[in-house]
Amino acid sequence: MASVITETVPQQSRRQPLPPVVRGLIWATIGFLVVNVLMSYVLDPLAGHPFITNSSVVLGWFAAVVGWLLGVGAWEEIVLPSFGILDRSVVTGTGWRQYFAMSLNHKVVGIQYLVASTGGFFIAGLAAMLMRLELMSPTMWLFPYPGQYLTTVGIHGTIMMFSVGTVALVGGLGNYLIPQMIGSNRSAFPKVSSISVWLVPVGILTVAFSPLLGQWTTGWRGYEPLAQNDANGILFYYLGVFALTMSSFLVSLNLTATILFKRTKGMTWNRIPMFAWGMLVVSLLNIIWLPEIQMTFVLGLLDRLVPLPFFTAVGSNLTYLELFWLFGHPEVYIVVLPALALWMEIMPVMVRKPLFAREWGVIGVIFVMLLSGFVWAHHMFTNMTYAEELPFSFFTEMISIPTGLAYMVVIGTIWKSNFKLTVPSLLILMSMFNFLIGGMTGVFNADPVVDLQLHDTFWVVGHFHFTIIGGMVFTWIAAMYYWLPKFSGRTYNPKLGVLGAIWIFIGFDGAFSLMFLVGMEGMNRWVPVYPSYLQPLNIAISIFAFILGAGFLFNLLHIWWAMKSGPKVEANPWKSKSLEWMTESNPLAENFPVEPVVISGTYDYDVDGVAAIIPNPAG
Amino acid sequence: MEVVHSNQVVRPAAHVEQELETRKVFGAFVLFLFGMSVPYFLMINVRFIMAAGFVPSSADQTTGAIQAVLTLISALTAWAAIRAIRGGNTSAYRVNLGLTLVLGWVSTLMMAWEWWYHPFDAMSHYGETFLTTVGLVAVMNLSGLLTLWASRARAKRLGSDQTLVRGYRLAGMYWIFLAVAALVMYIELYFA
Amino acid sequence: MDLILFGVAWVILSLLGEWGVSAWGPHFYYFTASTQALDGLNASIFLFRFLTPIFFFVVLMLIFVPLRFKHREATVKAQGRRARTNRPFVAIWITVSILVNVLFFLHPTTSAAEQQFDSLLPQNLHGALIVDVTARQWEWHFGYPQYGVTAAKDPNGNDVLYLPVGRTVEFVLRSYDFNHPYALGLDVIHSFWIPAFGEKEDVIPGETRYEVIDPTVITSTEQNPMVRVQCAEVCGPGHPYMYAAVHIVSDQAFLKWVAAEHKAGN
Repeated sequence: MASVITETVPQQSRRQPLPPVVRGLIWATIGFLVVNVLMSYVLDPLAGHPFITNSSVVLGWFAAVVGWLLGVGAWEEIVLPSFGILDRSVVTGTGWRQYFAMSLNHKVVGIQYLVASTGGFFIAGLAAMLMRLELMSPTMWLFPYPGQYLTTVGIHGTIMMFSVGTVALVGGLGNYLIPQMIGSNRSAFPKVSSISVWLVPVGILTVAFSPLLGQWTTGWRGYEPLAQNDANGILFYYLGVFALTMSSFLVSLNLTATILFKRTKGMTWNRIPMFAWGMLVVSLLNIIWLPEIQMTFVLGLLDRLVPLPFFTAVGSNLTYLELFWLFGHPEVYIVVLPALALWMEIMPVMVRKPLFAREWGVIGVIFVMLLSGFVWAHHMFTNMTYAEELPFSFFTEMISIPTGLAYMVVIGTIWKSNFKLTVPSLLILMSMFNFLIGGMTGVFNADPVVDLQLHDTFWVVGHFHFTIIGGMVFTWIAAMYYWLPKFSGRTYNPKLGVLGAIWIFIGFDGAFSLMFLVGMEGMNRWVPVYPSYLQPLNIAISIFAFILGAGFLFNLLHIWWAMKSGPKVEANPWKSKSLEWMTESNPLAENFPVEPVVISGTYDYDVDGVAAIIPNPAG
Repeated sequence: MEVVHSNQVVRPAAHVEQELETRKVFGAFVLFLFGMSVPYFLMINVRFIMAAGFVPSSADQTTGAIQAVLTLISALTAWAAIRAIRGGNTSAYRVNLGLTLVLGWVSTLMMAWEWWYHPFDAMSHYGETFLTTVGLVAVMNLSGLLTLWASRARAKRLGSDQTLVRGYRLAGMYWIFLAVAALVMYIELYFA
Repeated sequence: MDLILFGVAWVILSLLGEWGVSAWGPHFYYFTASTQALDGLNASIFLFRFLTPIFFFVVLMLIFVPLRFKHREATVKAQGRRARTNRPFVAIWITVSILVNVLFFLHPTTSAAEQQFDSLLPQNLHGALIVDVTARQWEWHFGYPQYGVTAAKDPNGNDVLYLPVGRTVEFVLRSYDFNHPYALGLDVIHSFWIPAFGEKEDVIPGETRYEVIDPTVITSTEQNPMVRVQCAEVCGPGHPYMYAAVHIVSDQAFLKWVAAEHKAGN
């Protein structure tokens, strides 16, 4: 299907009076003030005292978000057209301006997502640095009160999970790459992604500024009934997560439809890139579980506002735990499945060999998706009866089989290959190593009799950081180096790239492998104060953590520099057969002036020739 | 690789393109409804965890029944609207959609009444699930009403071009989904 | 040739690894003071035994391949079906991973579960010391209903837990604020953890839960800080301060301590 190019060009374009972001901020402010005043002066029986109340801030926040989205461009691009008014569409800027406006170009949206995610990553990373600084001493010294430390922990976890883990590879790389990979000029619903990206900064800032309303000490899980018992900062936790999950939900709908319905001719199910498979299964997980956690958080929010007794001590607080982990464990696979898919996507290019046992790789990601809904209660071994442990232990152990298939595929691919040790392939090897440790330590957690000791200790902290940073963040950085020429037409400096990779590897493995030891030695989670015999290990962890933080910053600066002024490279420097490398580097608004036709698998490096051709319209 | 630069764009026949577009839109719509049904399932689960099948004797069966009947009729009018627009009859579509809107508003406003006048303790396990379930239905209904309103306005301004009919049908189908969900929740809250 | 080289290196690494498990494995828990902790430790060592060769297989691959197959000539590049799959390899991989996981589920998971079920049977709790553990924000509170001690305190007034060595202890775990018993919804989830006992159980408002422990070593918090009650589930700003001292003592010393508590009016 050739795309309809002129479809979205407005009949009568006009300039916006103000830059979209400024307009969004103004509309958000107005929205918040109007609704907040309405709530606290008109509807509240204790009128005007105080100005901001629980319910006024919640409803005011919703008004502010609606105002922000409308102001950024949803009013002209979505609301008015849906009422049949088509002539108000505004010109989206060109050059750098288009990145600060709603954009129908999936590459611009992808970059917006990546930038927002990176912002979240460093905000949450700063929180982690503060935590490690505090933990260098067994007493309170950096934070005056434990509640402030615990709030920092919550901000770190929430922003990392909901704005980086679930967003960077899906909203960012997914939006940018998927349409190009499957030979399309656009995503299925460009307007959906163009507006959903603007929810990410809202969510990040809402969570980051949650201390404005007060401390919350629950961590990223919002555990009940503690959440009811805390100060009001937890409100912004619920709201921020609501915005971020809404964004991911919309992106997932769009990506699923794109993969299912926008594939070009010849891009059959046997030839769909592994990254697209990853996006497909992740999107299905998102479509099921994000509405689930949103509804759960709405109930938590109502518990506070009304207040209702759902999850309080007189209600059923275990219900909240079940509902949270019902989402919470699939969430882990939402984070890590795209990374597994990226290993299988990038490695064949690096080693010039076809993807090994491709069908098993696909079976692997699908079965991880299916099983991920059956494992949640392994987070609750300490609060269920012994009899309930067994099924969850069973599925948790079994899910390592499909996960292991990703290793099998990559190992089979690189065996007897023509291996090129580049920065992306080095980072992927590191990622596989780290995720392996994450997985192997998970075997201990899956076994209830051992988990009863490991649960809620720093062992678990080490374990899930190995899966998430080791699995997802290392792969994310690998992908950023790999697709750098695509983003900018430029490449990185190999020496600096290798330095950056080794730097974060040392910092990461040092910090988090010591966490296993400190956990086994009796360090529990969520404590700014601990028995002093644990201090030496904590100081060592902190030093490695600072090395890691600096390493991430180094990689950021290096990638930033490479994008602006790295050495220029040809359009397809890796000699990849994949379709996204057929487009111009730093692709034009239209990826493919003429629709490509796929004629063979995109991983067939054992034969010469291209995987797709651009048909000559004349002939 | 061979890249042919040309201003000409290969366009398959228009009806093929429309066919593909229809498949895309309806496929995505099914996924969307799949996601949208999750909160309802969650509320059903929560209700049975919290209050099992208990229904208080004081539950206001009359309001619930009227509301359920109105919802049912609104689904039928939405269905009639979809049939009308598939036949290209814009005015019949707008009339039926108008009826759906009125019925939808009345039944949604009755939920406000249920909220205000609830003849049982809001702090009880049944009470809390009742209020939140009705709240979920009301909020989702509001989104449906907004969609219907937009669709009706669009039909008035733009007429029934073939490419637009898809959107008109989707609005009606979304309302039918919401109506069915509301009926299920009605049965769950008043009879289960 | 590559395969043999790899195989030899793998066997050597795995043997070294197994030697490491033997040498270091028993210290995995740092300090154990109950049979439950020993069960967990033995289960861990069993897991380490089987995971070691798997771990080194993958790690060696990740190191061996880049070194061995670096920039090989394109002439040796695998072609056709052989390059895309290898039935025996896939079959072995999947079979082994299924077998290993089934094994882990049978032992230690299911075998340990059986012990856990057994530990709660009434006949096995005959003669057990019952300790009422009440958690509130932020305090551990211990009572000994069989001995009439309602609030075990040390001379400074801090909560303290005394256990006789070699006697089964049944902890009865509840979470509520005993200073404000009228406020039913006041408290939150805590987690009762003594690191040296190798087990923790959450203490949940509105529920009564049990944990059975058999202390095996005479020790105390002063001798080893892993012998302490520590709240392991975040429970608010006071969470890090929610700990209590533990003393595991001989039977006679325990009875002496009970008498002292009576005298102090606790």
